[in-house]
Amino acid sequence: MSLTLDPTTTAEGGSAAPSSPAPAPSRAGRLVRNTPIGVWIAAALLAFLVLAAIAPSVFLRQDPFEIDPANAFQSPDGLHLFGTDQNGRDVFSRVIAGTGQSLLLGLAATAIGLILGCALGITAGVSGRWLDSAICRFVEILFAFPGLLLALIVIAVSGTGVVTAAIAVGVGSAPGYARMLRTQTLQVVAAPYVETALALGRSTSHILWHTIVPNVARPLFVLVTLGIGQAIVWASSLSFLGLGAQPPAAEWGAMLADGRNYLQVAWWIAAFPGIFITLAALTTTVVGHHLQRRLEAEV
Amino acid sequence: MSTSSLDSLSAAPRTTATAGTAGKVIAKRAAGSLFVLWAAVTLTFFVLRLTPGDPITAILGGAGSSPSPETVAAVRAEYGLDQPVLVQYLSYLGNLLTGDFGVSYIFKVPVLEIIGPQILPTLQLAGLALVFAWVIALAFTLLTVGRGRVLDGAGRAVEVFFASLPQFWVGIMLAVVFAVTLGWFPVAGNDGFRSLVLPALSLAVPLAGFIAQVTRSSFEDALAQPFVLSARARGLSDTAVRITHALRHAILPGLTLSAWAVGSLVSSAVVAEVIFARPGLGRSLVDAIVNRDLPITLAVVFLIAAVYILVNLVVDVLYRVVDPRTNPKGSAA
Repeated sequence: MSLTLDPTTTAEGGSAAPSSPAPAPSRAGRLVRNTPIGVWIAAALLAFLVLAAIAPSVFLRQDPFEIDPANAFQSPDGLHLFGTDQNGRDVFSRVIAGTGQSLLLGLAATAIGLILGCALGITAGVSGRWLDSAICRFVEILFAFPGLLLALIVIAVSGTGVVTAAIAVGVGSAPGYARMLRTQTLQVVAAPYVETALALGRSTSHILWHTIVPNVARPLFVLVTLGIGQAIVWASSLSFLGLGAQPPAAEWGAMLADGRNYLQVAWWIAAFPGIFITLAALTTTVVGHHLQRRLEAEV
Repeated sequence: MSTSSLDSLSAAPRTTATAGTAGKVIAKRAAGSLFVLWAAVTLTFFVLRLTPGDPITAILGGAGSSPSPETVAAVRAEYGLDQPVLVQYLSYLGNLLTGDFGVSYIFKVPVLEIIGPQILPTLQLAGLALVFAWVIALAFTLLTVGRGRVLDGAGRAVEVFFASLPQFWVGIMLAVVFAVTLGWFPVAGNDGFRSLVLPALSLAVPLAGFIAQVTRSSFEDALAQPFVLSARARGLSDTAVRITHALRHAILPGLTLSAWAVGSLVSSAVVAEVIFARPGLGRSLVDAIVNRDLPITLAVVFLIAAVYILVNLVVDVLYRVVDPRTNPKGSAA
């Protein structure tokens, strides 16, 4: 399926031929040519989001929390790129200020989901029938709570808030990771190099940590990239429902919930945080898919 | 991501059915589903017990009130909270079998009276969303697959874009454009089909992205099959080949996806319900979580899980009927 017949690699350059006839293209050169333009755009936007998360002051022009009632509900213009909200706060500044928290929330949730997923999936993959089928059963039961439901149960137990939202989304995504990691582990365990290691008399723990884990970990990187987008959407959904980050915070989902009340007069309050959520989800998905294709092509 | 979890969906149940009639296989699957449902209820019951704080405070009107010890004891007995947890659990299961979900901590009436009227609106919403999603996805597949590089690429890009859209943002934008600005649909409420369109669409658009990604790849495979070539050789038009031959094969994987989709639609319906101020199970669940109304929380979780498990079972059985190849031997890994 991922038989990407990229014309740029087969048709060796319509450009003026370089001096040496057929040099092995450098790693960087190959990277540039094998990457479609869409992926570059996504990567650039993602870099922008990451920069906004790490150093928001680069983009901030106004204080995201400064209340200025006289300038409430200003539509987008040169001064207020994304307009102002019901309290006269600059929406652009708030969206930028919220990038850090929103991305961090997605990242933390993915990390939690991954740790739980690894614990279940890799254990199931390397252990014998009994434990394996017990874990499979357990994961199957978790799958009976579709979509946000598992996350909502966690919130029901641990209460609302940013930290619990991250944990909730992490737990909610864990069954999916567990299942994929188990499949992955089973493949690695059956691979010839594991047999070789066994034949060489390596200890079980040595094989586990030096052979199985590294080979399972490589595709993990791709999973993480793909998972973060989903986690950001889920976490912001929780904030939108009032279960995650709470209103004064400049978190995208919470800002959207805030803006929902003023749709009739000021669409921009809700629109721009949503565009950024979409942007975060879209860019991570596009970059993740590309990495996945490259990885599959390598194997 | 969605596809890989789907592949495993069908591979998950470790049925060791080697021989045996279809009826036997179905009965076995049904028993498995019942087990999963029971386990899900049990898990939720005990996990919700971990909630910090005494449920009595929720029943007696929050932390601010200071009821007398006699009242506390009376209420505790009334709700059966003075019993050991195991006894509570067993009586909950017993009541569940008779359709009794207990009494709400907040509203002080049977849970079913609260959530009963919420079931139908949510099912309507999820059902219409699924229909919309399929219509959009099939339109994409039929119009863009195998129609040249540009259309193909555009179709792919739009699918990824759709799939990344957060439902609540789609909902809000739809409300701004079609309700506030154009006035074609009501902004809120539950008043006939017209009020259902925008909420359903807001759930359908991201889902359509997922479904289209799956149908696209299976439609591509189907178009490459020999039977398509022979149909073309018999002089069928391109449209006829697409609709009568390739489409049938492309839909099959989407069927499994739909089972997953119904579950996720019912649980994510809450977002659309909140935006468009509609009644529904999801909203009851979020309200119950905020108010720490454990009986309602448990009941809604049970209902959503039950719907999800039931739909999966039905699709599984349908699949065996539609595609006999899935029947024999080897679902065990």
